[in-house]
Amino acid sequence: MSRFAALPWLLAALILGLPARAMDPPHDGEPVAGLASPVLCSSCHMMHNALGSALTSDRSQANLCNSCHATVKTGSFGFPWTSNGQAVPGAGGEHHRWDAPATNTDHDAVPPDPLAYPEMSRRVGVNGGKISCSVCHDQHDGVVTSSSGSDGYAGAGTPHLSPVTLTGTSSGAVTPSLATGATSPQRSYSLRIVSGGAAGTATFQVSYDAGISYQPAGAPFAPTSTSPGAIPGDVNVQVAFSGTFTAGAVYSFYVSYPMLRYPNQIAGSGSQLCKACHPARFQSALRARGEDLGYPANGTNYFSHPVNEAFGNNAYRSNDRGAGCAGALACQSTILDPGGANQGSGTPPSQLIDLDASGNVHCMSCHYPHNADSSSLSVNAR
Amino acid sequence: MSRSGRAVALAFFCVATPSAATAMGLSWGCTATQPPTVAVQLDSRTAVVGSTVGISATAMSQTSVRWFVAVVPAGQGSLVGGTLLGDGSTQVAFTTGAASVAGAASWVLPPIPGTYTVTVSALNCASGSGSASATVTAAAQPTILPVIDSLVGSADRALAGKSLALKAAAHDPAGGSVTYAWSADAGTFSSATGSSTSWTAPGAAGQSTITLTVSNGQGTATASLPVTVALAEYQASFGRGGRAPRRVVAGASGELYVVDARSGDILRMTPNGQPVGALKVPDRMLAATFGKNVLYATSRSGGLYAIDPLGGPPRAIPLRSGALRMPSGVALDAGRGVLWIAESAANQITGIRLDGSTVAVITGAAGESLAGLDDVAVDAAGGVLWASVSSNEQGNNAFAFDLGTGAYLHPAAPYGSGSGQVTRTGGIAVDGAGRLFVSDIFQGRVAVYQRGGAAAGTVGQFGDGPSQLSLPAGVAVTPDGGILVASMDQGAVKRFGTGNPPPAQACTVNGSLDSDCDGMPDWWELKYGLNPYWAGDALLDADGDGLSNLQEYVLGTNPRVANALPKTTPQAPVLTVPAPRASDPGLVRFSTTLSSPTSCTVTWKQRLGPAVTLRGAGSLTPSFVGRLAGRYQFQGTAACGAQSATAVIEASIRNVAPRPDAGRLVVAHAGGRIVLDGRFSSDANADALRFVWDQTAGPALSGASTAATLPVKLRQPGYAAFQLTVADPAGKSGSAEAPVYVASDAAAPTAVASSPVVAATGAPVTLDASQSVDPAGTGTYAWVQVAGSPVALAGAATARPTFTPAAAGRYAFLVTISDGALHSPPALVEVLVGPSAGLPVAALAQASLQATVGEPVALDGGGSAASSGGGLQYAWRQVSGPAAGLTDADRAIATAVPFAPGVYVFELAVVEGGAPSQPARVTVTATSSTAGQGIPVAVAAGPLASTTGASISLDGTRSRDPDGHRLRYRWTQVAGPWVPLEDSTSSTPSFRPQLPGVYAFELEVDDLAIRSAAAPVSVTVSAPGGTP
Repeated sequence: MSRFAALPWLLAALILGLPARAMDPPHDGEPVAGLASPVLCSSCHMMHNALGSALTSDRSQANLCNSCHATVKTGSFGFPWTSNGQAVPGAGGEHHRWDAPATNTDHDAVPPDPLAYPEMSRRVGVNGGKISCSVCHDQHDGVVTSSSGSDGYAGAGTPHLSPVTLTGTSSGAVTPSLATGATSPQRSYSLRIVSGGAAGTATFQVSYDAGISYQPAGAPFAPTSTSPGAIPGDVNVQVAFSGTFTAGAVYSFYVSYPMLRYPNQIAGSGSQLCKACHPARFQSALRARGEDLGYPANGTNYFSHPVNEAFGNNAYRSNDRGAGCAGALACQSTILDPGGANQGSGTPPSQLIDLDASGNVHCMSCHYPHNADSSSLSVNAR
Repeated sequence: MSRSGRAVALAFFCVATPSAATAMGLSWGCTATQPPTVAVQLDSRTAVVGSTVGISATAMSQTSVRWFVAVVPAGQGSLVGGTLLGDGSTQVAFTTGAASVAGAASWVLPPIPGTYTVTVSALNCASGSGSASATVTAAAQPTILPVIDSLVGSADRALAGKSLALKAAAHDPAGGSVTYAWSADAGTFSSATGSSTSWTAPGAAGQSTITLTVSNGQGTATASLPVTVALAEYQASFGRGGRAPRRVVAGASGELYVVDARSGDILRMTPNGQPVGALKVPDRMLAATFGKNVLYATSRSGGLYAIDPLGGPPRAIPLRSGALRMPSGVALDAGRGVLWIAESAANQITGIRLDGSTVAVITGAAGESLAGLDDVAVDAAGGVLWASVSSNEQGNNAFAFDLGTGAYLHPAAPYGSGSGQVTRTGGIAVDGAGRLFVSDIFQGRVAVYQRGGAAAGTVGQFGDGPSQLSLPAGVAVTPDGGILVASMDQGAVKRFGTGNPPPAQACTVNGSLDSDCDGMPDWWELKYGLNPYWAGDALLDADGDGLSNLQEYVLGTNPRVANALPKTTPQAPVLTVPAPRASDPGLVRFSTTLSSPTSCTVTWKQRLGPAVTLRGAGSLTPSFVGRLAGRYQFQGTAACGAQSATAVIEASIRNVAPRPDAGRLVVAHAGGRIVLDGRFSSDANADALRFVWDQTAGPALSGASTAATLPVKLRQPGYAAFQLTVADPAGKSGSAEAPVYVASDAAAPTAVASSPVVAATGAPVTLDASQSVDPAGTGTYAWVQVAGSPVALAGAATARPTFTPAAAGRYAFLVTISDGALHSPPALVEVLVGPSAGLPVAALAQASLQATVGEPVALDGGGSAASSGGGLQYAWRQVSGPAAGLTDADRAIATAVPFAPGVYVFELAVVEGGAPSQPARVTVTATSSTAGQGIPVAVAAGPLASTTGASISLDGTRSRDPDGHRLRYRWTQVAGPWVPLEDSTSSTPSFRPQLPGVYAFELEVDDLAIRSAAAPVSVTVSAPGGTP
């Protein structure tokens, strides 16, 4: 199968004047474990007779996405996600719905503001006022985000190092790993064996564009070290080689993120994704306390837990936490894990309640949009 | 009548009856002057063939009409009562005698459609004649067609291969009988000629037209009946198929099993879709298939298990070839006892016998890899193994292999969204007719193919309704032909019928009613207080004895009284170890394998040999550093529920020869005394050493000695060599030479040669010692080959002899120069011969390494490169330093273990097709944390330049020992004309050069136990007022 099959599409897009879209792995023509062919433009788009908007091949975007993501067998990110896993608060489910109207009075949901969130707003519009996967995710060129949470829970921020796929025949194994402390960008890696032989003897080239070009173009080629070592031209990912390699074989993998439209759902000015549809729940501590004179408790206004406020910023904090609380601040700066212990290194990643670097609370401090532990999409079932 | 017509009639008359007319005219003697006027009329101008047309004719004449007839020509019918004339015409004669006569006749038209003419002629008595004609068009006889009164089918839809009752009624309006003929564009009839029949639909889905033709002999009537042929019809949605049912399995009794992709559970359901419960599984399961009373299932971590469908404990099948890699599909070839497993992470289909041994591996189809491999299915009757890949945009999504040989047969399920195409496969299954069912997870339907790969239609359609499919994944065929589809997105299993009835709401077990179809009859459930209307109690354990209620029923035991569990022996893991082997001292690594589908705890401990620290004692790759010669054994076990048998790994550390250290070249004055010291010799096995010194070259200066040191009085100038042999108690020995050059007062000849020399096979090579120092100008050269295939040197007595190497390899020569009285110490010339493309390159990852005594350090020559793309042979060796452990010396990455603190030098040479590389060296400095074992540091200094005849002092006083030990000094000249050092074992020796040149020395210091690295110093000596 041609590894260059994506190229004609890109050329065609250029010739036809279609807007060229950046493509992040694994949507960039990189071989993907579990699929016979790389994900190409044609995997989701049709030039004619397309049933979906933007020339997508299915009216149901969820089906389009899930038809690939449901084939994941490793369990990464909790896949497969199914419709019956969409949450109904109080009833069941563990995912934010992807088929619901953007307007929902029960959850203070409104369509995203077209000025503040133009792309999210546009996508809700073309989807008949409903949300869909691509309202929050940008499958083409999502931002490299750094939010909290572990793989499969927060669904954000944690780089995903894919399984290695082999094109060609070779018995050797390539084991990639993320370099300690590195900030790995979304990137695909194709290691082509140049001269075969045992690990340590064989050499390789690397491609960062799904096999379109390799570097270095000529010898000397990098050795296939048996110990983890950086790939030429990339300090973020290390690879170790073992076994015997055959010249021409290509080992491919990629680093990817959840492709969110906005970065840093915990850090800094986070919570945009949540705020875009639930702005009324983005309340200050002042308002949540009922001290916002412009937002009185009149029986109509609802109050929500403050967002983007420092943890413990509570004017009504008291010393009623029991003995041992020498001061209110000390008491309130402690988050307990489900076992009652102070949250810390022993807390399972899936149950961490994260604050940003300033100690502020955000939506995703307590809620996960996917693979949550409760039907209200909370971090855990507390 | 026209004039022409009249003339014709008359002519006809004359021709027809000439004699009669003449006779009549002559006989009557009539006086009329005008011929008779004749008129003729027909009662119809049109008629059907064979019908009778009435003719009315009149004739009027001035005199009596004597002859009046109507004639129809031959072939134009006949006149009733007429006379057939000789020319075939028919004639009727009318009454005559009056001047005005009339006649009538009946004209029977011929059976052939056409236009026909009758002619009436009259003749009066004066022989005047007249005639008239009339024509009639005879049309064909009208056909009377039969009438079809009704055509009724029992349905307007039919399932492929199933029959449809047809009934028709027809009659013949003409009163005759009718016949029936049935036809269709596909399918077959039980009777093709009856008024009632049954039609069997074709095997492929689509629109068919049934046609009935009824005939009454004259004509036919037809009627048609369109029928939609479907492969299956929706019957039920089993809505509790887990959160994300990926695989569905049909059991022998119609029960079904669902593998939940979210939880990894295997859920049992009744034939009518009621949940029974989760089976006991050891891991997150990926796929399953049904065997005889057992489910064979694969797990995400690569295990293969026999799962008890009654809820008993699972049994691991030990995999002889290791864990499976993401086994996403499994199918059983019951006839051969082979489980075919789709290893999606390995892009291969693996056939595994039920004992866990591997029988076959299929890695490709038609030259293509099986990337995206998803599922497998067995068509036992057809001898076909099917495999599916997901989303093969470049070709087909399913491939058929010969079930017996694994040979590729043909493809199916081409990629696409059209008829007969599949976009992304979710699972496959085969029915008893060999039809392949391929679920399309994107299109939301199941594509069906004949055994040969031809498309046969689809089952189901995309949607989220009860009868629709969303993300359909696994497919299964029930024993009664029903099709089960795991609609993953809906968390449901959909059942489609192929003519079989929907599953009953109640079942029977051994003839007794089982209302909830859980496999336990109602009476038994009632007897023991279970719920006969709730299937969920089947897998519960009412008495807590480890047996499910369903097991208790099958075993005939009381579910309310705890029973002794049947003895079950967990499948013991198997540790497979390598054969005992021998190794040089150093790091010894073992690689063992574990046959167990689950994770095990592995433990190793030493059972034989000198005590060592076992590294990786909890892994499958333990290792140890062995030094003392002998056998080392370690025993290990693996435990994962059951414990493996004790396995033993063994290695023997060889007794290797000691490493002699006889010292370096000593240049001294005649008459002086030196002490050759072999005490830095060492042994990698740590054996005690015996020493033997013996002079091997030069004028006799000393006898043999068995001491570690050898005092030598340098009685006369010349070159001498003393061999040190060190031996261990077992007799292993190694030898090295200590070269000594005893200088005279005159300047010494010095052999200087260019080395190494790189040359090509077949090309002449010149050895060059022309830079040698020949103070007297009378020097003669002597060359000796010491390595490589023997060659003949041309000009062997000159400074530049030549030879032509016939083969690649390393050649080495020693050259000495003699001034007649003194021979210089030899200089070594290496010649590295390879192809014209060049030599391979030995490359080291690092030029120097730090190490810890007793700890392995990797010597990495993996960056070495071949020059011609060939394979490389590696050869590591130790060059200097205390004897170290060196293992994997023939690999790119060797392992060294320094046994003592000090400075070690290792050298790598690679060979490609006989062509050697230039060696590359790495220095390893091994330190010890033991007090008093610091490595001394040599620091050498001297003037940068001086002149001949001057006394030049070298300074090693800045050398130091970190532990404050007293230091010994060893100065060695490494370049320049040989010159003796005064007080050569002191920290400040001196020399007086007689010849210009660059004099280079190395200083090493030791504390009697540990020697430093060499520190270089060089002095450029020139003639006074001149240049070197």
